[in-house]
Amino acid sequence: MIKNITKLPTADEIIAANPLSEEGLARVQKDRQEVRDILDGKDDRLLFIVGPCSAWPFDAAMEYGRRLAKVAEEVKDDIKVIMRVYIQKPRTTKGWTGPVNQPDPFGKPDMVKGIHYARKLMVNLVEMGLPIADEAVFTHNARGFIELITWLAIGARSTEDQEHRIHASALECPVGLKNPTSGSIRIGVNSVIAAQRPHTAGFDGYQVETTGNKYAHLVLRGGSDGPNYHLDDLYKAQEILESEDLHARAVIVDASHENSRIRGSKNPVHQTDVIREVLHNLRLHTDLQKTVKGFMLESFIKTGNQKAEALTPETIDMDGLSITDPCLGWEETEALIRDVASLYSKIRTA
Amino acid sequence: MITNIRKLPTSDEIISAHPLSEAGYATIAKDREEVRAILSGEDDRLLFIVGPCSAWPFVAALEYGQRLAKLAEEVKDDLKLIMRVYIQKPRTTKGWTGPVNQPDPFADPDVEKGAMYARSLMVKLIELGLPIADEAVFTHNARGFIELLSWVAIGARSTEDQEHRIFASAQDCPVGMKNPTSGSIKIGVNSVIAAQRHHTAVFDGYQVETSGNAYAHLVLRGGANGPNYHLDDLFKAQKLLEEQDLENTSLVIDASHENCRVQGDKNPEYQRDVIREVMYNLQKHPDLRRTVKGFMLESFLKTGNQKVEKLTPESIDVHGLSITDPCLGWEATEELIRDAAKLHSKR
Repeated sequence: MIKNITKLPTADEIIAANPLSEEGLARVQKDRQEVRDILDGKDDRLLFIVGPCSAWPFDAAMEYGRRLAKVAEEVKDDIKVIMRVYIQKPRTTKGWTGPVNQPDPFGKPDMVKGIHYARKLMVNLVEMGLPIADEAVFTHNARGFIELITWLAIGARSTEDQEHRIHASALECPVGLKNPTSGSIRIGVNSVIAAQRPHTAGFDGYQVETTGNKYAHLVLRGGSDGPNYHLDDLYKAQEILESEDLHARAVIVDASHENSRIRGSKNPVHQTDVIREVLHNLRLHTDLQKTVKGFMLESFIKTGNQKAEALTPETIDMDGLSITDPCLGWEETEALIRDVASLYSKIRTA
Repeated sequence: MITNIRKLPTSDEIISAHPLSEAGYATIAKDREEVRAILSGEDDRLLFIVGPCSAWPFVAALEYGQRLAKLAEEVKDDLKLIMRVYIQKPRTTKGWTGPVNQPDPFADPDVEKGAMYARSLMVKLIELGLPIADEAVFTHNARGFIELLSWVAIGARSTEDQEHRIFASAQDCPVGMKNPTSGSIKIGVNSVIAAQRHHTAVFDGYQVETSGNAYAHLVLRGGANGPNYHLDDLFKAQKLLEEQDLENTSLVIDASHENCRVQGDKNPEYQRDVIREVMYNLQKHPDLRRTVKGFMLESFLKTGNQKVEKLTPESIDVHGLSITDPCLGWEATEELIRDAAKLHSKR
């Protein structure tokens, strides 16, 4: 049963409340094309999808965006930086479900507020010149948000789901499909295949054909059996991708999630080791450069995280400390991005 | 991008094209209540969710339903039979996606025809007195179908997905959450927890609160690492379910899928061995009875399957041979159900 039904603003109302400029819309198109070119190998830079686990609080996310936009400009010849602006978090049982549902983690869910929060933050960041990324936790009600996004993830918990695969196959934005929580690379590749293919489906009262998304690609995020960013994993992913009839055969390494787990817990600082190891392998094994096209990094202003459940509006740190997964802090992030840019400028072969 | 957009009939149009009688709706309400009573232990019969992998072709599915309705009446003191009427099949890359998308597997997809096919078949089977089951491959456009079901599955490929878990938490119908394709029982239990809880979510332009589905339960279907219906799997699932704060801690064994894989292939006849082993264990270990509440079985008129891609409209067998996963044939199904009823009558 459903109850306590509240009408939400329409997509037109959401857009009108926080419109994006013509230049902003044009920039999203240009950014998407750059991402496609990187995935295709026409542009030999690396993608770097970096930002907080969840886009909250507003002011800290904006401050992070300002700093990131500056670094992005500095490293733009070697790295294409995209900011994570994740507005929804899937939860097994309880816990905060992200700013679009609950813009005040101490208040009740309030989507009318949350939707405006999310659209406004995204628009502000795009106007700053930053391309942005999000995860499609749900497959409907995307309008008002999806047009703002340059890179979209299908998460590990949804990657095998047909509804999400078909959604990915219908999008113009490049989509990264994560491997499932088990860590299976094979199933991750199946998701890429499904997203690149056309499908016929019922959608909101219509029969539609999706065109297939040629720029659907694999994101390795580790799994319950351990990480999957080591040399052997990269070759395995390359081999499976190349054995299939695919357009893009690209891989992004997610340095966070199960790939950052050390001795049982996620260690945000270990993300830097993940990225350095993969870069080292790209230098030694140049044939991997045609496959590995970038990284994802969970990063915010401060290193670590805090548990919102254990805090009050008075004790919570509002200055950029994650309330979901632990993040790498700003100084380390900045140093890492600069290092990677300088390293990658020397190792790329193309 | 999306192309070739065609308006589909509304759910009102679908319903009025194939209306269900008042008596039919009352039967569904009663059937759901019986399923709830079995899951909660008030009714000590076993659930048996049986039928073809996909509900195609129409005439063979109806013929199967006529036979099953007769058998259901015969065993009703010991077993509650529900017929699988699965109208959608998720596919990785290509292949037939089920009668609701492609009612003629040799023609182009036609969702309008398929929706009418599926509603008509479901209504006819219910009017025969059969409760029916389906899998929720998609979480939208359910009206016109969801009201007809007495049992819904969330499949192995969707069980971790938040959209499907929230959908399950909003249903009045009992929902079985499969373990994921990895075979993880723990993640299957997480799905049950999520479906029993209430959630706040967006649905079609509204913020809604789901009430939580107290009758969400686990379905063990095996996984990439092998089957999960053996004794230690059942005890493991029981322990994981009972240590959680759940309204309902029951499970159903899917005798098909990865649980019927022997030497690399799915063997539909092996489903009998799965069910017999579990029933033996229920006898030997009566403390498992409060957890194991039934079985799922893929069964059709003929044993085995055929690959539709290799066939033509002339060469295809339309007399009840599966075009998706291999099924157990009718005679073996009938015998198995009678045996299970007899064995369970000694409970």
